[in-house]
Amino acid sequence: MTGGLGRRYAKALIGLARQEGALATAGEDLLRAAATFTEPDLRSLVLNPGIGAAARRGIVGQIVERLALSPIVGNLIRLLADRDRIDVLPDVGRAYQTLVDRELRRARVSVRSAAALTPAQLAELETLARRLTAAEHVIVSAGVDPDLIGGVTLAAGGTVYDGSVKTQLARLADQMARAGS
Amino acid sequence: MEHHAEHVPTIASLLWPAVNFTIFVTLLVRWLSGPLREFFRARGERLRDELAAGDRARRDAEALRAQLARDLADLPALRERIQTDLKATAERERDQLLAQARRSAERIRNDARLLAEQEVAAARRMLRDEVVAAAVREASELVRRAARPPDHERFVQEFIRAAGAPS
Repeated sequence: MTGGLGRRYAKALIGLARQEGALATAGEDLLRAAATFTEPDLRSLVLNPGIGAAARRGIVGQIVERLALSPIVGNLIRLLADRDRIDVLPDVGRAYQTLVDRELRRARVSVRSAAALTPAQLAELETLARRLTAAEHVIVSAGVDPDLIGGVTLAAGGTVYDGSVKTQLARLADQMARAGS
Repeated sequence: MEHHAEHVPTIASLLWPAVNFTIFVTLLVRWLSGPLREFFRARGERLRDELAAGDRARRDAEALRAQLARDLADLPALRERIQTDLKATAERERDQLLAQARRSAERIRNDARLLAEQEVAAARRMLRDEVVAAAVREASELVRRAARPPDHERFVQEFIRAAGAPS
């Protein structure tokens, strides 16, 4: 429901950020602000209907100043607070990232491995991810997951490339089960 | 001795009674002849009808008697026929009941066989799943314990080769 609304705000923000040449900075500020305003205590305070509009605007303004956000992101957050729409901020952040990634031909890739990866392996996986996503740049987030037993999984966009031993064993079990039936 | 003068009727004295009598007879004939004829005709007809009905009744009684006589004569054969029919009916019933019982038994046997086969298949599936799950658990633990850094390196390289290969 709020996805479409978040995308509209994100499109407006990306236009402004492009003019100021601050696509990346605005994205980082937006993510920081979204993380801050989704804190349960702050969220319940900002969304409390018992707090008047002026008081809410004051609270939001102080937080924006404290976070030292860029003017365009600060203005967007004040606008959302005025319209009582601060809850769509995480959606705006996600939509903005998607739009910026598309504009910069950039892909976000999540790599999980059973054992920690060496820098050389990470570089090889980054190259692989660039080829798989056809993006010029990839942002790789790596993590260790011992449940995988061995091997790697690589998630890019909506696709997961699974080379884990856990999945191979599961596939083997499935084949064994189907072979007997 | 008293002497009575003899009275001799004259023609004239006889004429009026004769005329009266003639008129009386004429009137009787005139007024009663039709009803009397009709009465006798109807009576005759009724008698004829009753005689005909009696005759018919007699003939029917004779026919009935003859039929009864025939039936009596035919009784042993009829008894034999009824016995034969009853026996045939009983045999048919028996055959039908036997066929029905056979069909029921066959159906029950088939149902039981199907149920048993399903049970066996389910048990086999369950056993196979358990064996496969145990094998996967064992294999997982084995790989986890036995995998060394070179193995992890090999896993990563194999993944890069497989994922990078054109599909």
